[in-house]
Amino acid sequence: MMKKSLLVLLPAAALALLVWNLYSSRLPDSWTDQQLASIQSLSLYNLPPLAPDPSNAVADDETAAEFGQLLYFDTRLSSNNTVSCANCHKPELMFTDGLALAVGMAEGPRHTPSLLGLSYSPWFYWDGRKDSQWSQALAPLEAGVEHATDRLSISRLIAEDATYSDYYEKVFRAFPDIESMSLPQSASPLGNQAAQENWASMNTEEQRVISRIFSNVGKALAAYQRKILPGPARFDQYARQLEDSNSTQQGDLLSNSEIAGLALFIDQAQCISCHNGPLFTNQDFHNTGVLAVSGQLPSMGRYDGIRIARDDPFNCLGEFSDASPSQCMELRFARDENDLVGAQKTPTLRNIDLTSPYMHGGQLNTLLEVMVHYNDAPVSMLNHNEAKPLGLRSSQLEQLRDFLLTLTAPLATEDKWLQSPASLKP
Amino acid sequence: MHTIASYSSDRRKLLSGLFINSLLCLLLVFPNTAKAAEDQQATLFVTTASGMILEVFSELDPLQINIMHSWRVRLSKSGSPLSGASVTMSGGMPDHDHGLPTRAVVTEELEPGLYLLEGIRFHMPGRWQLVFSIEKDDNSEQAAIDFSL
Repeated sequence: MMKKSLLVLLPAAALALLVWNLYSSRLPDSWTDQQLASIQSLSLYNLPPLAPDPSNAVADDETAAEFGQLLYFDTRLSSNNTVSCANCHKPELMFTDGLALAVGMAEGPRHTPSLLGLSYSPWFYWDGRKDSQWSQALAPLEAGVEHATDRLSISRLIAEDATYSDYYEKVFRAFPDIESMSLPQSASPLGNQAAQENWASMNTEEQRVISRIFSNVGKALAAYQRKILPGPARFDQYARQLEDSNSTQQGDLLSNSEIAGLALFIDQAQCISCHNGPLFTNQDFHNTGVLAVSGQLPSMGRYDGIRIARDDPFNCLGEFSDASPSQCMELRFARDENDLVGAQKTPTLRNIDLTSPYMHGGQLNTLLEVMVHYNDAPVSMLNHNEAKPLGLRSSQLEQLRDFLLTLTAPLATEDKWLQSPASLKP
Repeated sequence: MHTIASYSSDRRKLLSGLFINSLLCLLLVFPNTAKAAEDQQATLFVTTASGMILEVFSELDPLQINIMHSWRVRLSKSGSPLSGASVTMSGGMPDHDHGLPTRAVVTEELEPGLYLLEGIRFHMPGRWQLVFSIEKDDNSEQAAIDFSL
């Protein structure tokens, strides 16, 4: 008798579970005022103009951006002439590389983040170890696994290349006469042992001259990267139409599944908590229980990042910054407490479909895997996971994924900035 | 301005100087009236059990997420400004088990009982909880404010 009832109950339970998972909640006919406000807060049409970067006097200088574009695509900014910024931040992949972990001279420890709209962020790197885009641009150049070059070699390249010297003088005034300074061939306080010894052999004034040229290279690279901006996607057209009507159906702009995903995004799933604003990111740091990168210790995240940023000679308060201390609000008032252990930066979701894999180590391959991760909200290896399990059905996770696909669009950037400049082509 | 205007032979200059001078007098005599006209209503406020009133005047009003800004915090008790206190603020989002994204710091007492709190930025919509700690002359008091963004 017991066996018989089990035979009936088990398939019934399995069927019920299947139906529950596949059942999609019915869409409301119209959005509430609060939902409409949330939707408008995400619309790209409500993105304010890019604010100036007080630490970079040439941030919005067109000539500096042209100089930066040349530098960005130039493989001579590496020790073996094979690595440029564009190797990992490829324009055709929304300025990512499609790899789990970045590969420059060797494989690095982190996943390449997209550069889309990144100029809006006050912090850079997954752990926020840099507080400006120009300062960020300097670090990969001297990192052994990335460009593996050094600031003196880059200074020499600019001195020897007539186009670069011209650009430098147009943007930053006179280029120092480093030829007459009898300097070593290469030197950096961060490079390999030889480069560090060479750096130590230079006097303080020589070091400052070279670090100044180096910081200006970063400022030109940042001026270029400020051109990389997302363009309006289907979601934004939908949001714009909602200005005149609150009906969830707006022609065939979004499918029912995408609209249901949007509803989940702003309400039940609370993705909007961190992925907020027109760039779908609060540019801040959160521990969301993502597994450590295979073969690595769990990352300390922002806890270490803020300490590195404070000690960085190229930060907003440093001598190479163009800002006054009162303009360095983010750095001066940054937190560094224990709850930032394991916290990584919230990435933009604009064009997210084109920038797989995901997370700081590229640990998750597909958007659906990311949805499952947030639905489960696993225990964090370090500190605690700020996210809570969502209890969503698999059909709802697919709806969320479908909504994210509505954020894909061509960039707002002019085509001329999306390729290697003609003068660099062989 | 008064001196220049008084000794000017130009009658028009004299009159405009006197006019500005009388405006300055008004400001001196009625500083609070002038401030009330300049100020908005308190963005946030709380009265503690001991009767201390804490009012926040935000540079960004209404409050918004993701924008760095400053607050002026006015402290008073029994109608008198609470001057010379050490004021700190902590807080976070109780629903998400995390703190504030920045460490806001009082950098100046602008006038008796009015403190400049710099470095405020909220990074998520939802319920926030702030706790102000006020210390003066071995007395310490806390004032908590809950609000939603």
